[in-house]
Order: sequence, then C-alpha cells, then structure tokens
Amino acid sequence: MATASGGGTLRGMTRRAWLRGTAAVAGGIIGTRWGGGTWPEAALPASAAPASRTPAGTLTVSLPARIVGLDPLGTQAAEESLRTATAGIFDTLVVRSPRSATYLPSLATKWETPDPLTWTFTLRPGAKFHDGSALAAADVKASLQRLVALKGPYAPLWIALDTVDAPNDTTVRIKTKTPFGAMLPNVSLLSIAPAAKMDQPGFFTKPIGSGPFRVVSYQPDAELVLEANPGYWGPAPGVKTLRFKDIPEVAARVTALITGEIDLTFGLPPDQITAVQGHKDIRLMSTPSFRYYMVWMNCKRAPFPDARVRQAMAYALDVDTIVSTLMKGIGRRMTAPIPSTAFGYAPQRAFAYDPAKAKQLLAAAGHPNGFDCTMIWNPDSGPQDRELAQALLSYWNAVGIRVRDGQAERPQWLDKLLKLDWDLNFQSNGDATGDADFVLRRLYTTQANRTGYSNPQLDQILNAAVETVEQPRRKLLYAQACEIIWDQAVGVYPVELIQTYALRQGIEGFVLTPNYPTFESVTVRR
Amino acid sequence: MTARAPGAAVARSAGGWPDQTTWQAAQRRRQRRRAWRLAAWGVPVALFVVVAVVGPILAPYDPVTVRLADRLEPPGAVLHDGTRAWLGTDQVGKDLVAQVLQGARISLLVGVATVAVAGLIGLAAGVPAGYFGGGIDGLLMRVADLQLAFPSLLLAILIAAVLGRSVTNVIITLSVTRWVTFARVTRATTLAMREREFVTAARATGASTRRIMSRHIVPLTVTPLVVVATVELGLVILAEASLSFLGLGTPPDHPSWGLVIANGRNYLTTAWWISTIPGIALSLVILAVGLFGDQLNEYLNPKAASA
Repeated sequence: MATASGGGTLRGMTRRAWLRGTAAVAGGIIGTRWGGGTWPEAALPASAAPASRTPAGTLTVSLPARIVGLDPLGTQAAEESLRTATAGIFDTLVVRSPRSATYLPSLATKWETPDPLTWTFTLRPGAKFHDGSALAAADVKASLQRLVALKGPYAPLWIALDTVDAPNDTTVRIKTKTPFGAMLPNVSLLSIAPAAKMDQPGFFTKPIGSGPFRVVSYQPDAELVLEANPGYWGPAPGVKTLRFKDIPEVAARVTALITGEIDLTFGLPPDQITAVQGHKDIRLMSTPSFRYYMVWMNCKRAPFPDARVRQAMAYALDVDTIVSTLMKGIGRRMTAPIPSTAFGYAPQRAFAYDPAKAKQLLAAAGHPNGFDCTMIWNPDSGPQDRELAQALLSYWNAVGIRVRDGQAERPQWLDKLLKLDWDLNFQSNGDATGDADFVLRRLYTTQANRTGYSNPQLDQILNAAVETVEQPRRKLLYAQACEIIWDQAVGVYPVELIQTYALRQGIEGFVLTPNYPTFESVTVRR
Repeated sequence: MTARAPGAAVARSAGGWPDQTTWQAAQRRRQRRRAWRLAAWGVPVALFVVVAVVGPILAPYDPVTVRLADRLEPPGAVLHDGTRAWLGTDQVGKDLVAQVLQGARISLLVGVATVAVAGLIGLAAGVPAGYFGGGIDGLLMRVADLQLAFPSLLLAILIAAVLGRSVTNVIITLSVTRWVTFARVTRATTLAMREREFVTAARATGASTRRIMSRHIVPLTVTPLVVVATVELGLVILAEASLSFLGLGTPPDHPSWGLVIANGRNYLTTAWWISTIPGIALSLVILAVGLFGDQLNEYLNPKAASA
C-alpha cells in the first residue's frame, strides 16, 4: 500500500521524501538499535539533496475533525486534527520513518547516549523560525518544559524526565531518572516553538515555528491558511499555499471533493468511499494506520473484576462480520491490544465468535441471566463509530449483557472517562508515537489507573520495557505485555483502522504514513 | 331547523332585510361546507393517530438488534431471513417500517403531551391575567413578551442541552417554549368575557371569583384553545423533529423521525430512503394537522375566519 505513494521523480522529491528512501535501506541495518546508536550527518550527503524547486499552486485539504487549536504543546496536543495542521508549522528533533519504527534526523542531526541516563541531541545549524530568529537549544528546552508544565496528554510520556538543559546553542542534553527506551518516539512528538515568544498571550492563534509552512491566517472552525516558508532549512515544500478548510459533514466533504472545492480528504466511511470510487477525477490511497477501536471494561466495578466476564464480552462479538460489512475496506480484525503497525506489536490468539461460550463464561462467573451496564462514548470519534457502537450493543444483548447507550458530548465523556465513572468505555484511540510504550504504559499500569485494572506483573514488564534501551529486548517485553492484556481481556479490541485518502487527480507526491498525514512533499499539477 | 323560523324573522323585521332568508340559508350552506372540509382533513389526521397507536404493535421496533448482513437495502428488498423490507433498511440493517411507525408514535405522544401541558400552563396564566388585570397581568405578560422575543427553537436547544436526552425532557422543553401562545389567547378571551353581562350578573348574585372563573370564564376559553392547540400540534411535532435531528431530542433507542433523518444524512447519495421516508411522513403529518387546524378554526369561528 505504501508504495502507491510513488513520490514522483527524484527531482520532485523533498528532503523528507528522500530521507525516507534512505531510511528504507538504513533502517534495515541500524533500525533495530537506533536507541543506542548515533546517526552521523555524513549519512546524508548534501550533494544528494534534491535540486531546489519553487513552491507553486494551492492544496486545499479538509480534515475529518475540526482543528481545535494550534498549540502542539498544550492540553489538546493529542487531537489528530491539531497534529496534522501543526506538523508543517513546527519541526521536531527527529521524525519517524513512514515505513518502520526508525527515527530520522530533522532538527537534530545526531544524537547519542553517553550514559544510560543521558541523551544528547546536536541541532542543525542554520534552522530559523518564521520571524527570522535562529532556533537554538534553549528553544528545545523551553518547548519541553512547556509541554510538561501544561500537563497535557503527552506530559505522562515524560514522567522519567529529570532535567533538560542547553550547554550551548546547538546541544540539548536530556537527563532521565531511569534509563529511557522511548526517548526517540517521545521527541518525535515534541514540536519546537520559540522560547522568547511562546508564553505571549495569543501566540498560538498565529504561531511561529521553523517548519516548511508558516501561518497566514487562522479562523477557528472555518479555515487555516499556510504558505511555503522561503527561509526553510530544508528543501522548499511543493505547494505555495496549503489551506485547511473546515467541512464537518462527511457527505458535504465528499461533494466538495467531487466539485473540486477541496483537493484531499480522508477518514471516509466505506459507503462514501464507494461513492467516490471510480470517479475519474478522484484517486484513492490506503494505508494501515495507528488508530483502532477499543472497549474498556472498568475493572473496579462489578461484574468486570472477573476476567471471565471480560472474556465473555470478547467471545460475544462477531468481529469478522463487523469487519466485512460496517468496516469494509477501512478496518481489519485486531490481533493485539495495540495496532499491528506499532513497534512492540505481537499477534495473539483471537477470541473467535462463540456466543455459547460467552454465555457459559457468564454463567460460570455467576451471571447466568446476564447483567445490565452502561457504555459511555462520544460520537464523532472515528469513521462508522455510531454504527459500530450499535453493533457492539446488539451482539452483547444477544448473550444477555444488556448495555445502555450512554453517548455524551466530548467534554462530558472525557470527564467521566478520566474519573473512571463508567462501566464500559468505547472509543477510537491512536498510538501517536507508533511505539507500544505510548499506549501500554500510559494506559494500563496500576499507576496510570485508566481502566481500573491492576496487575503487578504487567506493571513490572511495562516499566522494565521503557527502561530498556536495547530495542529487541524491549520488543520481547511488549510481547509479554500484549499477551497479558489480551488474555485477561482488560479491553475488547475489535478493529484497527485502515486510513483511506481521497485525492483529486493532479495531486502528486503524497506520502502515506500510518500516523497523521504531512503535506510538504505534495505538488499540484493542473 | 325548520323553514318557519327564518320566515318569522322576516315578518318581525318589517322594512329590514328582505333577503335575510337567502343570506341565512347561504350561511348554513357555508357552515355545512366547512363541516365537510373539516371532516375531509380529519381523515389523514385520524389515520396518523391510528397508525401511531396501532402501528408499533403490528411491527414492533427492536432498539438493540442490528442485522449487519442486511444493511442499506433499498425499499422492497428481500432480506436474508426471507422477509421483505418495504421501506428499506438503515446503515445497521434495521427495518425502516418499524422505525417510521415508532417515530409516528413518538411524534403523537410528544405533540399531544406538550400541547396539553403547555395549554394547562397557558390557561393557568392567562385566566388570572385577563380577569384581574393590573399587576398580575403586567407581570405575566411581560414574562411572556420576554420569552417571545427569544427564538423558541434556540430556547428549546438551551433547555434540552441542560436537561439531557429523554422523551419526558423533550415534552418539558417544548412545553416551556410553547405556553406563551396559549396564555395570550386565554387572556384575550378572558378580557372580553369579564365585561359581559352574564359575568356581571354572576358577580351581582354574589358568586365567588373562583366560581366565576371556573363556571363562566374557563368553559368559554376552551374553544379558542382547541383551535390554537391544533395549530400548535403541528409546530410541536416539527420542533421535536428539529431537536432530535440536532441530537438534543429523543435518545437513540427512541427513533423519532428527526433522529432517523439525522441518521441517514450521510447516506443521502447512496441510500436516500433512510432520510427521505421519515421526511415525507413528517411533512405530510404537519401539513395535514395544520390544514385540519385551519378548518377547525373556520368551523368554530366562522365570523373571525371570514373577516
């Protein structure tokens, strides 16, 4: 699927696209031990960089969700639309390769771990913010401190952080309290903003970064307009203007795509994909993604402390039928508590559809007549979420588990979710870093206490995994963690999502990644 | 009526209206025609009531079970279990017939209950306001004006968002936004009645205020209230559909027409029937109820209607 991206000629490729090509080779050699190694700049000879090109044309994109803000360090930093919109505005120290769990230089040209508790990043000289000021190590330090201080969704990733300091303008030194194996995935999420300006009120309504695009205008719930940054340290992006247009209704987005009002959209349900399939002006591209649907069971509330009840919930679902009807072409059966695209994934034995076995397990757990409970969820969490929620309720009802539909607005749902005030929670979730640590340790340890599940053995494995810097060993530990979470059925994991992009003809060079999309490699031919 | 009565009238009014007989006969003919029209528009309304009451018994709606293999089947399609989905199925394979019938029941229930509650509130506010006048009148009618100045659907959205989704809450919400019309009509009628001779007479014989209100005034406000109630019924059904469409009305396991229309709006290009069929049902019912209300008004108040 990923090869469908093409990428055009070498001349038309951006630096990042070229990097990805290199990474495919390099990743095979050193990808398994990136944690301890260094990545010398010599690996990227300047002579091989593509010839410069002039950005031209306008690319108009409509995202599946509203852009809730432009602060990638704040409390809404995990919102997919925000990440997509700000990915071109801000740079990060490293970027994840679109094809594998390897990390490529971006603002940092090399990094090393002189001792297990220290990471040193060397910054690229000559990187500038959009206002012309130079990007220095102090900006990295301030950005990380802001992310931790605001206690946003990514702050828990940094609980092992001890200190961050900037001994000189091009060196950032991050010290951790324990050895830290998830450093590179974490810094790949750390957007760098200017230290001198980031605390000014209103800065993040028209933010300044160092990325290939700068902000022209931002009207919340209407439009975000970016333009190519002429002072970008890397090669210029393919388009002059990048517009994000807010069209909340799926049907309206598809119409806008067909009429040419927008050039690219994604997150379409299968029935809408059928509608644009075969349209002569529209091309479809798909890739497995980091997003998946899950149902958690509150292990602190009866009857869910009993693993047999949780397993019964899994046996009661006919996932194959769900995947072949509701999620046709946009999802596939999940085989672990993390998506198959993530680092640390290890396939598990499926809970085959078996209502009789579900009933038997319920009876063994003392619920021969089933039980009543409520499932909280928020509509608009992903494609086909309403339909999927109805299907889940229907299957559980068939084995006697009577689940009340507790859908709520996003703030109310989030409030209940975080307070553990629920029986069942249904949502889509994404592994933002593409690393098992992001979902497993952040969500399933006793300390995290997000599902009420507590298992000292699991805690020990997950903590050991993040303190391990050798990647093959980390992988083994996550395989054990996956097995415990899956067999104990801490949650039910029906479907992982395949992201389908619909593009108009003439849009070239779009690179598929399992994460949110980036647009600097795209060119427009009309 | 016999032919003698009009004859006597002519005889009494010497030099009056020579064509009075003809005029009265024409009046009677007109009233008869109004009765026929009323009955004609009563048929679809009666049909709606019957369908709403009996329909869900014949084709019961199952709020939980989905049939994924039968999703998005067009009207008339034969499903996997051999039954025919006359109005098609929705995106999770639920039959639309059951949903439309259940929706009719919810529309009727919400409509009638809201009009009854709002009517009672209106009566309770309008009669004292009209009868006593002065401070009470000023206070109640300013509150009413204040509320009328605010768009009623916006107010409904506000209240519904606070109360949450349930059929009872929809009735409460819409009653709060609709009582004003009833209060104003009741007040106007009461104002006209309180100066009439029979009220003065009752007062002169020492009847208590309560007795005058309950025996002499309230019965006379009923006719205009019934007319207003019929017209309002259509508006209430529409408001309920609007709230449900916005996700603030009935909960998902109570498929009101507004909710079903909202469910289908992403499928308009691929499965038009999900939104279209309840939409047509909603339009027809509102049209029929509205026209029935108009005819009822003409029949009960021939003078006001023709003026």
